[in-house]
Amino acid sequence: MDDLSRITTGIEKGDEASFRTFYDAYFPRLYRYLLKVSCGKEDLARDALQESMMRVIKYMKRFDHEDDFWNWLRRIARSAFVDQVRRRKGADAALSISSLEEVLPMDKPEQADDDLIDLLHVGLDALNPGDRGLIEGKYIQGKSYDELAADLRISSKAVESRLARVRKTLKAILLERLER
Amino acid sequence: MTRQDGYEKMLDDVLLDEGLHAFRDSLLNESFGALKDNRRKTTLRWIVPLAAAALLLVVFRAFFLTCQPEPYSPSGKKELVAETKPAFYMNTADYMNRTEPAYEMFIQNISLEDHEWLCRADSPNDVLIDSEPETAYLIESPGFHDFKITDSEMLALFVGIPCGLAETKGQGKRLIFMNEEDESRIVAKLD
Repeated sequence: MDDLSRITTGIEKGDEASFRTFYDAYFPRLYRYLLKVSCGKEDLARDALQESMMRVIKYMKRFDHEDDFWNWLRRIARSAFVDQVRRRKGADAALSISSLEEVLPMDKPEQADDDLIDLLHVGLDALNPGDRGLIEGKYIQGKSYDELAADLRISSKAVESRLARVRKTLKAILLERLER
Repeated sequence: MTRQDGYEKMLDDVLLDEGLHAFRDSLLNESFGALKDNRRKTTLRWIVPLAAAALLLVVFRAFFLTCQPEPYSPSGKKELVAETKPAFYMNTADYMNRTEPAYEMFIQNISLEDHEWLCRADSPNDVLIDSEPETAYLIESPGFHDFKITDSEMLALFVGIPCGLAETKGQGKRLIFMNEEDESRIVAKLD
């Protein structure tokens, strides 16, 4: 992200362009973090993300270093998530506050992403070789739809829809593993 | 793109499906609304205290002006001075600038006792002071209403302004201001 101090100062002043830059860069990362924290509960992760964004706008201050900023964002997301769990206290909140400390280690900034990528590998292992080859061809080898279509001797459209199916399968595996 | 980047991209595409894209757009709009509110609050944070300070200033000024002591005027002429220009001392300088300097000698064959001063006032408040024809002083100008005041009444006209009376042999009594600025602000010497 270009010039973090300029962007954070801009958000502090209410600048929409600065916020959009931040949003594009950190929405996926925060979502991944909250999905991991919420043990794969998508609606909980979304609500916490929504609350996090509002708090980011409210409490934004200037940051010069990426690591400091991400640590601050994680704290915001973490507290927003805890508040969401407290609000839902009941049947929906299978996750208790006391277990958060185990789920939310704050010592390693990239822990959530590392864990998710580990689970992704588990998911890839669970795919049939054809599907795994297709998705790794797309994301790891960087092949285009046309190249994949030529390899598999199917149309590009067919590659697209087959990839969408594989991603859906992988997501189901990921969420199911996160809930464990 | 590194292998790690490839897995991160795959992870995002797996997790951020179409439903999440819609959520992402609506949250962005909501965030813009919150930003706008924030801007408004930030602006108000400055404007409200400023407006309050300005209001206080106006109230204080109004209070201060209305609480100024009325200028003393000689006995029997009190209403004349007070009615026409209550803020006599404060506005004297402005007033003199705006007033047509119709300064004229007016002391003519008026006999004064040693402790008396001759004053002249007219509908606007103006006072001429002298004790000797040769040293006529004008405090503001334009009216013609002559009356006498005593030394103490004379000094009472300048409450808060350091001044005093001095008498020199053969030259009569003079009103002396300690600060030259006061003198030039209040007194205009007649030609």
